[in-house]
Amino acid sequence: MKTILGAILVLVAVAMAMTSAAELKIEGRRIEGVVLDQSTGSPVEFARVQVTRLTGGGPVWSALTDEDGGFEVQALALAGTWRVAVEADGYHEVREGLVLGSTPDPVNLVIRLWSADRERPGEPMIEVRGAGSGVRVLSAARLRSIEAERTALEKLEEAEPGRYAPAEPRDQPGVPGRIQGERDEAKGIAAVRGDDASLAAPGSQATAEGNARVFGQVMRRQAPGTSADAGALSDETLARLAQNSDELWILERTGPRPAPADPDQDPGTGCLVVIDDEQKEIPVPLEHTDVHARIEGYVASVDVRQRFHNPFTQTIEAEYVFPLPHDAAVNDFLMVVGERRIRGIIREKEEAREIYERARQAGYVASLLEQERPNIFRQRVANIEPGHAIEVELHYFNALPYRDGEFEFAFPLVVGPRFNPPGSADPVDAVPRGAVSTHTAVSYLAPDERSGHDVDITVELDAGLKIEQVQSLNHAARVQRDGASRALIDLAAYDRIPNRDFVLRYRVASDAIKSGVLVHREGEEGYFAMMLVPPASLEHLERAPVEFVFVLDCSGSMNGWPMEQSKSAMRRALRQLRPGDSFQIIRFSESASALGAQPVEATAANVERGLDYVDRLQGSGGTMMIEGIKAALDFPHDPERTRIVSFMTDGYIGNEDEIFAAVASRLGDTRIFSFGVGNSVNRHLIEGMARMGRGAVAYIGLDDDLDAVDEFYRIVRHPALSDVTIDWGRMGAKQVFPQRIDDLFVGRPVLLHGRFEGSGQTTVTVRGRAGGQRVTMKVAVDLDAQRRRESLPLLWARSEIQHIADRLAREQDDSLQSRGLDLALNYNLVSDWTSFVAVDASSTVEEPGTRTETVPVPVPEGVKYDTTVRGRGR
Amino acid sequence: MRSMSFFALALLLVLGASASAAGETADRPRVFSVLRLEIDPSGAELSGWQLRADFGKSDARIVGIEGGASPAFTAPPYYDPRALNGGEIVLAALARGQELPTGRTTVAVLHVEHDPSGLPPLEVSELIAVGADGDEIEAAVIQENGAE
Repeated sequence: MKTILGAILVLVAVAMAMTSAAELKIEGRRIEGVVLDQSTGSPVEFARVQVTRLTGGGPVWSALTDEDGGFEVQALALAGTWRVAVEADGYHEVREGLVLGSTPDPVNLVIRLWSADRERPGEPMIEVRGAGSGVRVLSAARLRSIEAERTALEKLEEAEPGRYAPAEPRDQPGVPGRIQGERDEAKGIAAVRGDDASLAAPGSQATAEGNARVFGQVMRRQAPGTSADAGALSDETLARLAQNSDELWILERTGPRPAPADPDQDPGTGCLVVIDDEQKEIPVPLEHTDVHARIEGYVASVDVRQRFHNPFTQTIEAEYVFPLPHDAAVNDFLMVVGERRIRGIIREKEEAREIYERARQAGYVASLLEQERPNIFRQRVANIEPGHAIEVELHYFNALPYRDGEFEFAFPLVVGPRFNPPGSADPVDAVPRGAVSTHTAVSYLAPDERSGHDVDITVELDAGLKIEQVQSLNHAARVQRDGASRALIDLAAYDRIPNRDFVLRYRVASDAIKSGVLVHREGEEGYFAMMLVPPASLEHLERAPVEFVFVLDCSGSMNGWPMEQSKSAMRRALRQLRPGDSFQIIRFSESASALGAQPVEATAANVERGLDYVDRLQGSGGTMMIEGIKAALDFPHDPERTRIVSFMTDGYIGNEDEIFAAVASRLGDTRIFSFGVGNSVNRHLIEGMARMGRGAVAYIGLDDDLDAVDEFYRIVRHPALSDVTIDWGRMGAKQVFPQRIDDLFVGRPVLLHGRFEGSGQTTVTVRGRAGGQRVTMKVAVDLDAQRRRESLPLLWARSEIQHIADRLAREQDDSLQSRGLDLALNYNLVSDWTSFVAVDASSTVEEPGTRTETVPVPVPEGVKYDTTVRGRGR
Repeated sequence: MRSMSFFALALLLVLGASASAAGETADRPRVFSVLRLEIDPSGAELSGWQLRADFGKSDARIVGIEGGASPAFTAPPYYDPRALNGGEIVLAALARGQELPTGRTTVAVLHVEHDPSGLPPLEVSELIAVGADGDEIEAAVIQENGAE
């Protein structure tokens, strides 16, 4: 009887709204899923699931779950932001947000309810099933924030009807209000306008000329308008806004609303804006960064142009510590002085610095590009006169990783604040704006500061294969398709705040990805790149039991949003353990501690224990990662199981080499899988640990739906191709990097770079072993291919430099360093040992600058300034 | 089709131009100067060039390479890093645009750091110039100290 009743209720879908789905004539789209008891995993029957659009009112759809915990809500065709509320007797209520983009139909959810007699967790309780779905869940906290802002807007509307632009969902084009905000000094507040979707999705747009702070993002301000009526906002909202130290701006509707000509240009999905307190615009010598990437196949050729200017009254030197991809082969450098373009010269690092210093002291305009880490660079520009501008341009190549069906182009935009253990030999300090450091330091803007520096990014994508999907993860971007295999991607004009990585993923038909070799000849010398794709047959094999060691970074930089995301990932990982597996959980910050003395069997009770342990974790303190490494690798190895160590961290440390050395000396048979958690993680560390640990990496953004965890299990669920050997045939391959392939994991091709001497046609044979079976793959190669691929020599040289750096992290060898220096000089590459210097010797400035202005940057999105930036600034 | 011929090098050194302001390290004083490279293609259209040279026994070194005055050669020439690492300077540029110079034209400006005794002569050991059809043409390289 209960079953029948439940089914009927679900089918009827009790609509609380006045309008039914059918009346709305919304085309087939639905949300379905199951509601489960978080503790037992059993279905929850008669839970009420309500789905409401956050923006613009509208109907509420609801359903009751059936005996299997299943529910289905029909006819949600519109992209946007939704509130999902779930109630059931004996359970905490769930209220979270759901952002639907161009999502699949149906959207499939798993909702876990916590028993009312337990403390309510802070994590999202809704998960989206299905890889790469493009659906994102907003935590309850974020949802509350959005709702509070909407309330504020409604009150403003109420006070002065028609003055403030209401929220406009992207799928309902309209012309938004303009940000005209002017802070009301007396009350310290202005107003809100916004579209919820914008808050959640980077697809949001205020106005191009707007200037607002949205979840820590600062947008450019234009002409101030009228003051706001702060009285329209509730005390509660004011208090919350003040606490967040955000800035509230008014958005005022100006004139009638013409229909937008181009939906992509429609600012329709605005954002919350605004707030209180004094937020100072800090004059900085970096005005703009322009990034232009051309991707052919899996190689990116990227031009980066940085425009420095002097807003001060004295001649200055500008200094900017900035990130680039950790594997970037930076091979060209130009300084632009007015119309004149001066090519920089590669020199030994110390020599370049001396040249630069002499030029600076003598009053010449000069610039110096140094590498501090493979992914951190320092740009110095000397003698910029007041009111003048100098531009520098650099170029790099890098090979794009292919992970789990997608290529990824990532351009980092901010260096995260590093923690340096006491005694670090070569730290990268995280200091407040204006603070002085004796080391390389990244200078950070305080939460109440912003700069006018913004970024343009354009990507010309020629995948060479049919593109199935292009997705910008962290930013709003416009994608224009040009045929089946090409696309042009632009960063949206309203989303140019450099406080998170620009990450573009594109999917091509997976069966089109095959092992292959690209070649390039320069005279008698040949260079090649080989993408080695694991055989599909691996997916039919099951792995042996595994000893999983999960290591969570619980330091201060993880505090808050990253920690919650990390814990959610951990929970998902624990729930996917299998009988026969064992596991351990280690947390570290200043010190390390663990779930228990030894790994435990993955029984239901132990998994529950693990979940409880994870629930209690918090982020604070320094990042003594070495403690985590020791705790994870120093206990005896279970001979019956493969040991897999998974780190979950943002990687914000300055002693990467020490960590690499520790991993190398303790690794044994362990495999390391690193999860980078956050929107601007230290990929040099994450990738380096996985490389040394013969494992793989995955990245979990702050808004991600944790697909990376599922992909992790997809990799480890099947045996890797091991004992890999390569017969290069008549290729005459030499100096191939990486030198060894220990394992080839499902879904994770390996890219090899090398040189060759042969000619003609040949076949490369790859042999390995998986699940007790021998596996052989053959790859045909045309060594006489005429097409020039200028990137291959540079990518090869960069690979060997990385190989040398890895070895130097664990052994002292002067000949290695000498080899690295020679490579970098011969291939024009910036490295640990080489820098670019450019001097304009044509004239000197009137008064050489003695003042150095560093370029302060915002802390990365989701990272707290107070727990990461140390020292006293201006 | 233009006849292919090997080039003649003319090396006119205009010495005595004053070096610019000096910087100094604890060890040795150094100054910075500018050296303009001009090529005279003797009436032929110049569409590209490559030059091999060094500063002889001097420890002068290039600290920047700028393009020339002709619209076809305003982009900074490329240098061969391998040659530079071996103590030589190999520069090359291809013309951009349709207006190819036929007379003496500045193709590059080298920014050089050297000792205060004066900018040493650039000893050019090889110059290859090519015309509009890609064949080699006769040309001469001329050096001028100081900015134009």
